Amino acid sequence: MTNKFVNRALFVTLVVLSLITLPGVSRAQDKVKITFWDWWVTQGPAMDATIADFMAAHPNITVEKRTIGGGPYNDTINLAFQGDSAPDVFVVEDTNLFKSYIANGWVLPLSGLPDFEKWKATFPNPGANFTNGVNVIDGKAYSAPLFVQGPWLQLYVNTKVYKDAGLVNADGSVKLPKTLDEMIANSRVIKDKSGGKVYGFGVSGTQGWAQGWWWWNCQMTSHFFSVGGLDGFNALTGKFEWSTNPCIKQDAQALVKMRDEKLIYPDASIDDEGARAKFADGSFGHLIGGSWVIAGWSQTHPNFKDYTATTLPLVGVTQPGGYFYKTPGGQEFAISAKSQHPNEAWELIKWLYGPNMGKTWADKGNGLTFFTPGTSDKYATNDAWKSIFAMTPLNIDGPQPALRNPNVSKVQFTLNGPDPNAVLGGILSGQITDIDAALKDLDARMTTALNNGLQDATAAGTKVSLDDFIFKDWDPTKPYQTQPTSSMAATMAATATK
Amino acid sequence: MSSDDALKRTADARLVRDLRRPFWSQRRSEITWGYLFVLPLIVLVLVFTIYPILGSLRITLYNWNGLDNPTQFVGLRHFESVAKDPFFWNAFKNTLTYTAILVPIQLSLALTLALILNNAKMRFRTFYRTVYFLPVVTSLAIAAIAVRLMLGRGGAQFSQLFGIDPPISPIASPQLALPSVILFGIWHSFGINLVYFMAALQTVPEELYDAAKVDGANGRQQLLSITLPTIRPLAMIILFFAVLGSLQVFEQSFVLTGGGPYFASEVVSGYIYAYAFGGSAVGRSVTSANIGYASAASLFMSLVVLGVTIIQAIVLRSTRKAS
Amino acid sequence: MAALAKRPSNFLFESLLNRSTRIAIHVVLIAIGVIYVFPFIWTLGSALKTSNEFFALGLTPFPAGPWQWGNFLKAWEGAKFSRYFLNTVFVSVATTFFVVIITSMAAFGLARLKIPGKNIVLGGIALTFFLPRGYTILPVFQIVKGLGLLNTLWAIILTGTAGNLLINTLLFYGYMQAIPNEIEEACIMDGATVFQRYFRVVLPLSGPVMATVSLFTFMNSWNDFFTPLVFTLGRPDLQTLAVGIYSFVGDTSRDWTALCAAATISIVPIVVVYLFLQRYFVEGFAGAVRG
Repeated sequence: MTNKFVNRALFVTLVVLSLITLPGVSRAQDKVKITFWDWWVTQGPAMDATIADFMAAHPNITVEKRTIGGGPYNDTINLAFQGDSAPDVFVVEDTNLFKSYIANGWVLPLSGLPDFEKWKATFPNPGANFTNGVNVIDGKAYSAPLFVQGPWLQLYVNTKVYKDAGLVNADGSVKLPKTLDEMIANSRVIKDKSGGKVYGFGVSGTQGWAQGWWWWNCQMTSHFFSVGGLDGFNALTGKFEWSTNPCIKQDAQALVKMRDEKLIYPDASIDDEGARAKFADGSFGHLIGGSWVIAGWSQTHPNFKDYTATTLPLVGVTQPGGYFYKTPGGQEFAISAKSQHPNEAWELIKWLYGPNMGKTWADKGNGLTFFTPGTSDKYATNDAWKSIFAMTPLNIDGPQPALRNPNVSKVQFTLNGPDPNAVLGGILSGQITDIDAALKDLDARMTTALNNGLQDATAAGTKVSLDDFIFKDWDPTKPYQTQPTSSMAATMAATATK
Repeated sequence: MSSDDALKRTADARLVRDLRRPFWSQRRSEITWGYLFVLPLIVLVLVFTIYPILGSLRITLYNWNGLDNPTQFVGLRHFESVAKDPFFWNAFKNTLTYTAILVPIQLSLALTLALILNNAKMRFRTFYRTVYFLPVVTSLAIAAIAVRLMLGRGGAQFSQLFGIDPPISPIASPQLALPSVILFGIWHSFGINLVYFMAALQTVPEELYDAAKVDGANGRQQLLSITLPTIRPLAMIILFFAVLGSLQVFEQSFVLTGGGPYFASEVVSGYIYAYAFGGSAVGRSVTSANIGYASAASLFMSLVVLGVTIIQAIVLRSTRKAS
Repeated sequence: MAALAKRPSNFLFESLLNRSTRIAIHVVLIAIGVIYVFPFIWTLGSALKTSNEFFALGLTPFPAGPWQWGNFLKAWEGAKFSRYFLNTVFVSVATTFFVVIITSMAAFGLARLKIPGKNIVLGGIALTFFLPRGYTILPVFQIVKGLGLLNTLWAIILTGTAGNLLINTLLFYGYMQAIPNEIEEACIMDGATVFQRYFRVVLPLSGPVMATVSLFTFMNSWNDFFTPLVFTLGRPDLQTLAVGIYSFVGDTSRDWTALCAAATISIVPIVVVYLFLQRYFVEGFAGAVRG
């Protein structure tokens, strides 16, 4: 019996072996196959359509798309490069890591490719779109921005819920809240008019990143600023101000008040998608999210039209004290330096930065690219898109420490204990009751993390200091042009050759 | 040849062969073969287990994002940070709670059910065994995703069913998140312990029961004087692995609750994962992954587990001696 | 094995329990059984829902509306499940094969051949079992890369094999040590070589433990997630089922119903294998521990 078992195992192994063509044996192909990796899930249908169009226009090229959603995307890219299995074309997710990739020689400079200058000239503002220290390193361009960006978060309002509660202006439009106070007042009306069945606000109770969006109410209230992931860092003073910026505490207290008044939908507490589904059902009136929720609804709730978007509510003030800040330049797509088919990859890049992709992207409800043909009105297919397009000017250039001193990307920021998102989750769930203490603790831990990071980098011979994160001449209400220091070219060269 | 055959028939063959070939040669050939047989194991363990462990030790002294070579030396600071981080100890406490609640409940239930199902006359015994074992053959990650989806979509219904107020899903409740993780853990691995105990029960020689029946022992006496003492050594091994497995709990918490809400159900492996992979995986947006820190936390935890294991072994040995 | 299956005893069941208690036990066991299979039923049912129904129906397993069999098609095509399935079978079978060969050989060497340093090796195995595991995947990655096996299924097989060695060697060792010496001595007298003693005598006698080791290794390998994830990053065509499922999991939105279909597809084969082979799980293991 045992021998039979062994024989059978052997037999099965051999059969399976013969079934599976082991890798390394590449078959002769008429077509060139290139691989493309992204991490876009809601945008998947638009990307699929774009790539299908590209292949139809380039019958000799096959593109194999792979989507690696969520957290492991960067790990995947990193290991793939180390293992010589990197994709030909990939979406750039993390700016700092992208610089490491460039320094490692993993990314193909676009500058040397045929017609590069001609391609560059198609950009709306080539001078700003290709910025030294961001996507141009040592005089070579490695990637380029593509999307027309507005503030990345909006407040979504269910217009049917508003209308049912009588929250309408004389002209029949809904009374969109501008401030947090107005939003809470409207929430009370919604709750009362519906007899307690419909709630004011809904948020995931389990996904910290979704809860943390609430903090961004302070972005436009008081230039709540993020430097290299250091949320709540004031670039004017060089200090974290979770406990000192009055907006933060008011924002948190408002959430607690809404929770205690039972204005927050109790069962939207599972995940962000559940919250979105309940919002579409009309279970509550307000939801915070980015423009991807629109594409999401078109997939899960295609008949849901009764919503619009507005800016995040202001906290304790009636006039904005800040904007959303972006980096000049930017990166979306890049080619692997190890690509066997750089010319085909380049064709794909040009297609992605072109009118076909621009149109498909907008048609499928993902917003505009630089190359979307026609005016934005054409793609403002609903109220939400209309107001999101109108918000574009609220996204202005902000200070970029890495532009002034590229070494800041070498500072590793390891925060011990809960991050701001988790702190908000703790406040919402009632596990944190002393908000002041929690915010003070957050400041202390974030300061320690930054100091440790700077100290470790300095000890390892990297020239970097806290001053690199401070911009005394910055006016948060105006676009800011970060001035590269004179020694930057030399530092960049050193980084690139390392 | 013929003399050989004759010798074999007439005398102790081994002795003769040893006489014909020098003793050490026979023995050496067996030793050589012995080492050859063990060699593949040793090589694989050295290369794929020991070396990587040693390799990861160095990393604990550095900041490292997994790219390039680690250059930022921090000494033992990562260990100090781990030891001082209340959230590490929170995760540690949750891991111990998980173990302390799951192991006794699961093992006593598994033993009871094994005693019931160990009867050939019991109807549907194979059916029950099959059903209870079903989660075991399912990938932990996939099972956890399925249960998470189920409780996420139907959590409120679930709470209403049990009269929990407010009607939020147990996996989003600060009080019920960890119990949910424990229940899921019991659900998923109960079957394997059931099978272990059923196997252990089958090692009890039938003659012992026959003898006991002759002596007029009743069921309870048979259980206490024959069954339990006989399976005791095996039960200790089952206990040992249950404890070890529980201390390494990961997916049960990571997939089901994400360690939340606000770390209410975070376990040590989840804590380590958050630092190894960065991002906001478990509510910590460490902007860049710090594998150095993660390795330090991992080593720290492993030393604790090793300590618990040694204590467990000592206690088991002393109780065995006592009995 | 047959003898094991026919074990008559149940003193406990017979002497402690009367008829109504037995019925009560069945009722309890069936109730728990329903809870046990419910997540599977729910997953299967949810694979037949529309997105809208998925969010609206909560715990209700099956949709009232038409069943969306298309979700299965979407999962199958979207994730190349036929490929994943073959990969998983190949990896699991090969890993099981190597684990059985290597651990049984080592255990034979340790248990049946009097080699100096045997206790050091055994102690080393036990110690390694409890050695602190750091974040070791990157060193392993480098080794596999150095061997030139990256982006092949052999990378998964090799690391999977290495990961299953320690405990299974100890299982084999325990069993082989208990095999009576007389049988082997007779073979030695007949002039059997060491290899013959292993392959023709001791290994066939170790059937039950071999079945156990095979099944547990197969199960581990089938469900392993992290190793195949890391080693197939660049080659989706080499991915296994567990990793393939993962490609459905996105950041802010997921195709949940297709994910449920994918989960069902990946669960069904192992459940079928289990249903056919399940008696070995108990009896093989019993044989192993009895040794």
